[in-house]
Amino acid sequence: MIGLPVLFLSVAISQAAVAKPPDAAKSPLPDAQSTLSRMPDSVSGRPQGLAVTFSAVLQVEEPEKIAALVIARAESLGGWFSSRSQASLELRIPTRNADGFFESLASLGVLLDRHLSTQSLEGERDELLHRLKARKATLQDYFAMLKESGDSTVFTIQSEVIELQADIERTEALILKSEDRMAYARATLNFRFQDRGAPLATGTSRFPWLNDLGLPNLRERFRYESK
Amino acid sequence: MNLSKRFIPGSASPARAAKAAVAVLALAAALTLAACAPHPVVPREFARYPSGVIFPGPFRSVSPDGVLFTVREEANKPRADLGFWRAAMKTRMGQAGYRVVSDSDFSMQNRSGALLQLAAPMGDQDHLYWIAFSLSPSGKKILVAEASGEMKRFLARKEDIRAAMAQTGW
Repeated sequence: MIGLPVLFLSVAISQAAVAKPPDAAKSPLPDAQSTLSRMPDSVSGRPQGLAVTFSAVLQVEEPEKIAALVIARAESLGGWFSSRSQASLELRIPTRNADGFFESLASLGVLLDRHLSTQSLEGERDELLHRLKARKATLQDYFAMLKESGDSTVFTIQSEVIELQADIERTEALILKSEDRMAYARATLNFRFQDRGAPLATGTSRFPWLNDLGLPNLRERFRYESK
Repeated sequence: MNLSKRFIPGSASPARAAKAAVAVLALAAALTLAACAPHPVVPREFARYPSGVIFPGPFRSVSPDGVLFTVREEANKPRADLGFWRAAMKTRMGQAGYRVVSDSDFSMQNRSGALLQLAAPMGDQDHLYWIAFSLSPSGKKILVAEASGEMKRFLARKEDIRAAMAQTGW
């Protein structure tokens, strides 16, 4: 029986290859089937099975200090940071806590350019689960055939088994990935404006009084006092 | 005897009567103008610049750390409602390079208005810029209150600025 050790070894490798959060106890990643039962029940105000992505510019005075606060808040909600630099922070937050987390950011600075998107992955996951079930059933059939096969067919069946196992592992990895995306929202925070260009001083509106608005004009109104 | 110079208790001379009439008219005109003019409120801890006598210009005040607050009026031309100006202002400021932090309903002395909160870089600093506005009761004019300052300083005073904008009216 060559097929079984190959199966166990490769399943172990595929599980190890999936990125995990620092605290394994908080992560529902070890197995696709068990992940299903541990999915967050529902996201407030949203249907289940959505991948949530959030990005924003958070204008703060001390990015390092605020980044530490944001990370601590994410960890207290069962999340973690996946990437951190001086100007940005990428986080994973349990989807059920995502809305509260996003709203809480406003207390840490000025939230600019907020962008929230959702993508339904439920259909894709269901399709993958059905495919996995079918492949596993076929694998059992091959194992049954392997017991009864003679020398002339054993290598052909083993080859099919190995190919089927690889397909099962790929499917499981895809399920884990989609489950992970549904269970944990992605949040990207930038701590500075992306574009540092100063606003225009000249007007382009066809409504004249709107052209008098703006920081340069406002400052000019205070300047003539010194003359 | 010159009767015009004779003092008669209970009556006024023609010159004095003319002066009194002018004063009454001037007072009436001033009251009428005052009724139509904006009534700005100085934010807490802000100092007010003096206004001109003949051409008062915009109301201006400044905080010790350089946050600016000004109030002026503009003609509502072309005649449009609050929603129109709200959309036009948002478009204009976006095109000019400002980032719209929020765009919300805002009450200025119990008259409905809007508050546009903007942000923009100025040199190596980030500035916040708020514009609150509402239409006059006749709809002929627009009251515009603006405030701006370096972000941290502005945020420290934002509640005072918001309160001053809310109390400013016609």
